[in-house]
Amino acid sequence: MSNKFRHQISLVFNIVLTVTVIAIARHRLGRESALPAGQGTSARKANKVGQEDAMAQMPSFAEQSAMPQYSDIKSPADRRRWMIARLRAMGVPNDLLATVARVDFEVQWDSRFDDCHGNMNKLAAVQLAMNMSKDNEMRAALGEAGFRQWDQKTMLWEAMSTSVAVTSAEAATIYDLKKKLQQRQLELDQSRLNGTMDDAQINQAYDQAYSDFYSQMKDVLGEERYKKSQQLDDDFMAGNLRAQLAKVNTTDSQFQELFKADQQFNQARLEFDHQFNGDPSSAQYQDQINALNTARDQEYQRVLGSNVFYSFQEQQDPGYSQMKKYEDLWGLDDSKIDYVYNTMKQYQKSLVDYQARLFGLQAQGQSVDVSTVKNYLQQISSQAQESLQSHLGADSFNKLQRNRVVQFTQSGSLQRAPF
Amino acid sequence: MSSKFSHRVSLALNLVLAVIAVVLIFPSSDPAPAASATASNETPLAIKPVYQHQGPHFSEAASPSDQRRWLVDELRGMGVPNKVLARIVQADLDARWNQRAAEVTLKCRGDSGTMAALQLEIDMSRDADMRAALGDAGFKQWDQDNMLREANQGKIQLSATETDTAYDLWKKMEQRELDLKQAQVEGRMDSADVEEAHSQAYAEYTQKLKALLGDERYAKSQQVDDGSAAAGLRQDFAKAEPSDVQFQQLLQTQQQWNERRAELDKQFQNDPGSTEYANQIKALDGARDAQYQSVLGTNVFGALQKDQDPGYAQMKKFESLWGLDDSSVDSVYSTLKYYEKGVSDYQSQAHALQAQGQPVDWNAINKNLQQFTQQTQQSLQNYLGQDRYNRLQQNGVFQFNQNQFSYNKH
Repeated sequence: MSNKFRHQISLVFNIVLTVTVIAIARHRLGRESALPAGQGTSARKANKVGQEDAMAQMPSFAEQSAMPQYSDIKSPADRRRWMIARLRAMGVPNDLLATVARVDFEVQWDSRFDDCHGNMNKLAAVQLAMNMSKDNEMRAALGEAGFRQWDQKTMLWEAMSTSVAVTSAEAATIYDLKKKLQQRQLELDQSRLNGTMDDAQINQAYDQAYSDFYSQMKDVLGEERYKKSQQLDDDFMAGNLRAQLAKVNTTDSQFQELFKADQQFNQARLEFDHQFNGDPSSAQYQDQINALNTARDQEYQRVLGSNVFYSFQEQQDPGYSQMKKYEDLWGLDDSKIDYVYNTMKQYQKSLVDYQARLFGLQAQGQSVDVSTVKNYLQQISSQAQESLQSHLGADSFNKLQRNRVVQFTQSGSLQRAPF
Repeated sequence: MSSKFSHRVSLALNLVLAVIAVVLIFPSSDPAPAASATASNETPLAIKPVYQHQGPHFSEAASPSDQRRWLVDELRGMGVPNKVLARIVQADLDARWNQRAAEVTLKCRGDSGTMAALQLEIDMSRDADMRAALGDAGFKQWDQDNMLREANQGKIQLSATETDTAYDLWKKMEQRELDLKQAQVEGRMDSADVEEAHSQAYAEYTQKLKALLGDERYAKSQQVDDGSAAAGLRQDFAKAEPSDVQFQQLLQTQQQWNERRAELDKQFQNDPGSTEYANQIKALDGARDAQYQSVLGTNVFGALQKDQDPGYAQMKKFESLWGLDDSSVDSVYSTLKYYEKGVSDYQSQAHALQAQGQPVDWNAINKNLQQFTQQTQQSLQNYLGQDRYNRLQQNGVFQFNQNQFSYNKH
């Protein structure tokens, strides 16, 4: 090949390459200018949800050559749409877009809350107005598909304490049910605000709405998945019991027996709660619950044996745990901790027994001398205090008192001690 | 130009054009937010933040911290105000912590020690997380606003130096609180020691703040100055429309009550649950109310008390729903007030007798009180009829339980 020919070929390549470079550059520039500023070429692939919606709704000023700023857009709704559309174009996931939109929406209401100056009625009215407009504002910002995706995820999360697998049809049904419940709550809040329903009626209506919702949810999921979603299933309950028994070595068969006792206790407790729904503070309800607790404790003791059960009770006790935690700081050791625990248990039992005797006397119509009662209470309180003080020394005893592990009042009655 | 030279130029041009074509066809990938986040971490924030464009695309693979930083930079570039950015970052952090807390709760089954440790971790990492997302200047602006909202509720004017000094004091106090929490979680200090150390740190903080602002401005910043007290009182007595002279008398009464109350609180600080303390407060409140009544007159003061009573307000709100009218609302209110005062006076008399060493037959007293309660209940039932009586009871306006009435005072 001659030099002249090679030169000619090279010149042809010069022309071809120049044309190619210009064509590619024109093509790239054209594509970039068709997208909002700052958008990368792969952005569209990353997050499709509601993008067409949002892009279509983007205010026209976004396409102007001068890029607008947040404060340039006076309407909060337009501002959010503009902001979300730009972020979505940059591939920001829908959940994060929803966070941005929600926060911006909430900030928009700040001044209205401030204007209430702490007036509870005004605050309730503003809160309700905000709650009622939230869905529309979020939908406007995220677009229909983006809103639905975010809202469904939120509603399902609220409806289930533990997430269970659901088909898309089931998810959609639960979402509809939850939205119905939400709408009912808003209506009831509105009634409360307007004074068209009183608190008792509203509470009853709330209970009814929730009961309907959970019953329908059970229909959708079936018994097993429903229980799991509400953490009412055996696995979850067994996990709780296992955590409680963590420091006590139990065999499998012991565990199964305790689990059965727990299930029976829970069932009976539910029935009592249902039975005394109107008045859970009644003396009769308390008596029944006490009897139930005692029966469960006896079963635990039978299964675990007295020593292990006692140790289990110690570990469940907040005062005991506190003493173990601050053992060194309070100058205690295992034997002293046991001593305090036993003394306080005994003291508490004396109080309960004495109280029961007094109630018995009163029930028989016998008079009770208040001074005698006070003297007795003071006496047992002093005995317990002196016993603890001499065994622990003043310093440790004071530390326990200061930290309310043991607490005595002047009248001698035990107050809010954790034992 | 020789043919040889022109050939060389042509070849070089081909090479250059080929490289340009390759670059255009295969552009370099977007810069990773992680790298750019670090670069812009020290971006100073003025009123108009300096926006550093880090790359146009959100990276799912980046760390949450880098994602937040990227988002803040992009939004800041759009002109989103710092307070909105801070709330977005907070919301993202909260969501992530909530998710973590749910996992930990499930794993430890709500063990209080584990949950306290997690809460401490959240509290201790908050500033660093917020600073990483907002940058130093953005963080300080947001955090100073928090301080002003909390420590300057009276919204007094502060110079820039005062703001900075107050902020430093506040941050030191905040850090001390975290240190104490950590000491408690780790078992190095017990709750009584922590409480004491906290009170001491808080006293030092207020002392320094007072020294910075002066007594008068400090009182105003805490809304405990005379002006704030007068404004509050004026609002409380707005419906009574007191004259200037009356208002000054009311104000004086309230100031005296405040002083006496502070003395009582101090005197009984170690035994706030004692009967003696409760009795003294009751006597103090009674004396104040009597003074108010003498200033305003019985009728005006009575009407004012009624207006401020939650049970009365509830009955007025649901008047038509409960089938009441103004006269029946007044009648129920008067009956309940009469009952309440009767029980209180009777019990006080018995306690006074006992305190004097005289024998008190508590069984007889309890029986009398039961009888009085039943009479009141019967009288209300007769007056209202069963349906209206039940409604008032169901809504907690009053409650009849174990032979005692309780009247809604909350």
